[in-house]
Amino acid sequence: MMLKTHKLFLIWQSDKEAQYLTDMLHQGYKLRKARFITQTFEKTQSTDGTIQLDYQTDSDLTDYLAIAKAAGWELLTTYPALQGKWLYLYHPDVQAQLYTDQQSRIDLFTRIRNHWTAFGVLMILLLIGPSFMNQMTLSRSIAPMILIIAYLYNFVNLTYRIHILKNTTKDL
Amino acid sequence: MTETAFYILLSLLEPRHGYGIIQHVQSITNGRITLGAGTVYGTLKKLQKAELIKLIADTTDKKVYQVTTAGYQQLKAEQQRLQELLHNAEVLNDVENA
Repeated sequence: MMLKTHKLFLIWQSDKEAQYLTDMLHQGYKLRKARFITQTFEKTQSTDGTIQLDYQTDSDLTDYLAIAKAAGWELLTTYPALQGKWLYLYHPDVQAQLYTDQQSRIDLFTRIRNHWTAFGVLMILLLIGPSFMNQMTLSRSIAPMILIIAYLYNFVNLTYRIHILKNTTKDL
Repeated sequence: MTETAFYILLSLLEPRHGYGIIQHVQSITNGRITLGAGTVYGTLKKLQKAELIKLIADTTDKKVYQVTTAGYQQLKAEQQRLQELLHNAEVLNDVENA
């Protein structure tokens, strides 16, 4: 039996998304597919363990998954995005962690931020460039404005997360 | 140098693949440190870029790394720093005995 839920998790909310998927797993719904705002689950027995999200570029995928699988992670599904993939990984040990030090967590969010920012800037240039040449009307400027705000919002939130991580190191 | 980078470099005095590093670090720290797969992969990439480690074998699904001369020198420098820390911390023993 399949179950679909519709929840919006924004890019910097990957930990919240992972927690939701882990809770569903403990209730016996194992993730099969994740797309934008739709999560597809398969009914199984209630299972222990943890689901965590990761983002890797396509060129790193094979090598990375070799290490992750050897360490006991099972790849449930992927979600392609910008020359890379979101990875939904499951580990039977609820304590297992993909990222075990502060620096590598900061690196992960920096990687995500840089990827999305580069893409956002490109999209904005492609949209704004032609509009300037053929005199922009108010109605035609709405879509680019929404996009710009969305990417800025994304950038600010990821930067804020990185900032929080940098300030929560255990060292004095 | 972070603890993670130090232990990964130290593991690579001998050729090892990613999961081999995780197991080795777990063993020499008596289970205190279980490095995450994402942490190991990211750190290996950084160490390779800094030329502190090199790829010595690339079979079907396992990449094997080993420390370079520069990496070995970094480890020696870190060892000296740690020895200095330990030496200076001995002042604590005098406080306890007084």
